[in-house]
Amino acid sequence: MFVVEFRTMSNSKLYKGSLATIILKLLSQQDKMYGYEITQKVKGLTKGELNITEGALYPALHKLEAEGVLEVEVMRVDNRLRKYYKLTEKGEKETVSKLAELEEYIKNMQVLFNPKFGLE
Amino acid sequence: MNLSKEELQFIDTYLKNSDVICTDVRLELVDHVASAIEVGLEGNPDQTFYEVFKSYMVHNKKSLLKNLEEQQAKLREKIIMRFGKGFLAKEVLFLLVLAVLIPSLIELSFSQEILMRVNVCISIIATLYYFLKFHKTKKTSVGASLMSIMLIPIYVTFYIQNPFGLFLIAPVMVLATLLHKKIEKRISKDWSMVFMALFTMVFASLFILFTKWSEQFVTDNIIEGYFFFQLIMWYVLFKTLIRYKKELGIKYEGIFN
Repeated sequence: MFVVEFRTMSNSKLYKGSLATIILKLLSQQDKMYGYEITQKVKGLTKGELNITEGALYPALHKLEAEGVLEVEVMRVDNRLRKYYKLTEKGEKETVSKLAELEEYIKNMQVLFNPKFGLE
Repeated sequence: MNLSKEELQFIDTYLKNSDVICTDVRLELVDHVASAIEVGLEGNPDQTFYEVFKSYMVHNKKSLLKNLEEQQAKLREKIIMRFGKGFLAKEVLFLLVLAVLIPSLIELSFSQEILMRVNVCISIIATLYYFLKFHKTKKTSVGASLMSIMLIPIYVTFYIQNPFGLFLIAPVMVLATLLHKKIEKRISKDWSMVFMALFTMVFASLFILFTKWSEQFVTDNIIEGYFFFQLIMWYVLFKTLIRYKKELGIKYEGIFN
């Protein structure tokens, strides 16, 4: 169970279930990323609208790792250990299918909620 | 601006005191908090590390420590799955076949005793290694999971040697747990090991009843086969641990240096 925090908290339920897809999409664009970097990237891309909390991010990352979708590389950076995540071969395939699934979802939502599309 | 070793140590100790016991989970959180504080210090150069740390924790502590159990459970699940898959390796399958064949093909009167002694030695060395080198200073989810698996062959070895030995192990286990929890100052929070020990005592009685009944079926060959299988189990256990350490790329020297 994870929570994604937004400026308008009432909207957060709409985004439940999308966190894994967000992570996979980001990792498909970059070779490897670490936890804090992912939160900042999402914050930056959405201009601060979407704020992924630590309590949501790490369980999601560990779940994807346990499923074999992500693999881990630990490196020493700035006097400490840093855990980088990157997509596995399985993860690359999973990203394609998850993105297609999400696109389909968005398309259906547009048809349902956009009056122009709805009348066509 | 990079944090100093002392500042990183401060974050690590704070998280440890907040019940983030396992190193493999904590190392990620230390890095997360340190990264956030470094950004905070760059944005507010007039503030000290402690001021930024305090402000960060006021806003994020709850979220940071949320779902910790779930995170640790996922890591445990991963390592137990990997341990299970370890038995499917070619060399292990070959050894398993030998474990079945050797006792029935070769009749060695001393083999059972030798295998049992080797098992007892490995059990003692593994337990000492775990407590002295691994558990006290660098407890990890992986270490904790492997320790729970290690307990099974240790118990069975004692059980085969002397079913009443389990009655001896259980109180020792309770005392060791209480002592350990007292050191960790978590005695009031976690009684699971004590319950597990009491549970063992109850089941020890049932095992003894089972022994009386099963004596008619158990042969020396089966016991030899079991000890051989147990050696394979140790092999898979250590292989899993070494593989995990290798995967991390760092021999658990610590979170920072």
